[in-house]
Amino acid sequence: MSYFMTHLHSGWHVDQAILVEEDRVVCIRFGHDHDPDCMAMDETLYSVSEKVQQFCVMYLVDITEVPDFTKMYEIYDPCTVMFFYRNKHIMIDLGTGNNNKINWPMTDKQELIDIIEVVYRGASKGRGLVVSPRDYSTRHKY
Amino acid sequence: MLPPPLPLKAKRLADDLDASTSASSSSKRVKFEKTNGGGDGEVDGDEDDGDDDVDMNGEGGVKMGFVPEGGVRPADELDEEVVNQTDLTDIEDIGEVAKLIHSKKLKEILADISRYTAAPSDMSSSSGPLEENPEYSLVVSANNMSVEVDNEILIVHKFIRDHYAPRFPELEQLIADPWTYIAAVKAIANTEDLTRCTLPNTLPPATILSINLTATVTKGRQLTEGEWRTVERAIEFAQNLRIAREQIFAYVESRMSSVAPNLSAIVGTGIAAKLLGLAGGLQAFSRQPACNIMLFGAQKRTLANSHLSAASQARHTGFIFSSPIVQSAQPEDRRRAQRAVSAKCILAARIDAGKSARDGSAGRKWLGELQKRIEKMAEPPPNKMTKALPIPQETIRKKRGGKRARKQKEAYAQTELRKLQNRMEFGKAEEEFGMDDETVGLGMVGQGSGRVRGEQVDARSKAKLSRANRIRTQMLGRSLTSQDAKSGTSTSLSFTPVQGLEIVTPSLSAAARVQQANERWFASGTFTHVRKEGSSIPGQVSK
Repeated sequence: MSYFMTHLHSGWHVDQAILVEEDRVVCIRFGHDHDPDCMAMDETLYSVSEKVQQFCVMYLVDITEVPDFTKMYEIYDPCTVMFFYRNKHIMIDLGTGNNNKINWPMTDKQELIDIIEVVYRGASKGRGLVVSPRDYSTRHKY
Repeated sequence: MLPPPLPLKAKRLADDLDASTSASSSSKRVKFEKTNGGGDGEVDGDEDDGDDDVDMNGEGGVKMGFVPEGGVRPADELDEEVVNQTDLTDIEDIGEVAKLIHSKKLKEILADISRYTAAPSDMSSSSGPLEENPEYSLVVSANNMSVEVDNEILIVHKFIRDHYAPRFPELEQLIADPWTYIAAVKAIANTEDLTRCTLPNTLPPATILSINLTATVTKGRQLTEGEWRTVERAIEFAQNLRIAREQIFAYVESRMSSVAPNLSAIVGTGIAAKLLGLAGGLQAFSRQPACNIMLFGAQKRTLANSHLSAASQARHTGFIFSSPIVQSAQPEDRRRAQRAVSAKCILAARIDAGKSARDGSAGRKWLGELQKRIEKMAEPPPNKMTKALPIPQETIRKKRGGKRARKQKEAYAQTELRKLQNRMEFGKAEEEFGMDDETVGLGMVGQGSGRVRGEQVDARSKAKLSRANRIRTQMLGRSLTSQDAKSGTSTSLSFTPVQGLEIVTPSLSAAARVQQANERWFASGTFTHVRKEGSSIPGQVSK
């Protein structure tokens, strides 16, 4: 579903998107449109985007086209989703150990909505770290 | 009545039988069963005699629906499939199967039509009811006759197909429409070479092409002189029928648009005439409810007698269902459309009966509305919008409280008495009292708790009457006492649930009671603490 969503084609665009948005969470997916993980994530993001449009805006960034953030945000996974609010990176305690990003494809729409809502609620109160409603530490069932 | 049909193969006669002899022999007659049973399309409903009805139920399998009192039974339509299944190849003379064109009834009607067309009577604004006008009965019978003519055309078409088949057997598959088929047969005629004939321009080019292609491979043979003459005669019959039909239609149309212009505007003149004919006139029709008129012309079909499945039968559908406006709707919407159309039909008929909107403007207006509505029916339902979730903002909750909330809480709170009941003294049996088969323990209630005053029932937890209820019960008690105070049987005692005994003076009215009360409290003047001796305020003139 990536073709339905807004892509950001340069570092400047990404910066502007994060900067300009006044009262909405900015959700950016870093990865490749052709990546299977990204495809799954984009599917969920797109199906949710209309529902959360009042408090969240979503963008896609191709990390080959825009490599500016790879080092800064340590984007080494095939699919990474990060949240920003008023030019500030919002961390989420997902239970995975990496509080900076969601680095796996999410397939459950309601879970994603819940995370976005929690991010919005925390960020609008000025918090830099929010706790995810679900613990993803047991995501990989070994 | 005609005799019951015999199997055709059993009565096959020699081919060279003279037409006149075969006409006289009744064994060779073919009888078509009308869809509605045996009716011969009587113009007068009273002619329906007993044996006809029995016949109808016996072999028809399909019965005409309800005919109101004074109504005329509509002519019965022939079932096209029944006609198509009948084999007419053995019949040499078209006059045997198609008798209508030379029948007295049709001739009379056509003569009447030409007479009235030359000198039309005033049907639209005539004095007296429409039903008494002789021309009105002609309209109804002419309209019924048009159905008969249609039936006849079906038969003649079948006859031509059967007899022309040896020449060009594939032609009937190529052209379905009877008139086009007959025109093509007339053009091709009995030529030796089918590929070289010129077809009329009225045929669509695609059909002409397919005819020419099929003609090259057809297995047909040339007809004999006698065979071709039979076909030619049938074509002549068909053309006569067509002329008669057009004449009837033109007449009915012109008359109906003057009798019921609004109704005709909605359903068309033919169906309007059928409806009025069945109802027995415009006045009778306009008195019917809309839900009934849509069943006019509906056929009662019994599954046991007909070989068709119930699914294909359109139940509860009548003339209005067959009107072009209903048929323009999608098949799944037709019933809905039928209801809408019949509702407007009856309104139009009432306007017509009231002799207003003679130009049919109301009918045309409704027709437009109905068309719009039917178009709307075909539209897909609107797309479902995905509703955006609300912003997850935490607002400060309103805390409800105050006197009322506190009182409500207190009313249901645990009282001291209940607490005592729940408490047990160690090593002592509690007091109990029995209710039916269960006992209720009293716990420490009634035992010396060391307080001077024993525990009492908390007033706050008592059941309370609402103010409105209290007033109501008081009024009930009062009305008991104040009514009929002088009869001597009334009492000043009344029992109210609130106060128990109440003593009032029944002879006093409400005004008197107020006065009495005022006398007690304000006897010494309204402003009792203002001294009457004079004011102490400086500047006032004191006595």
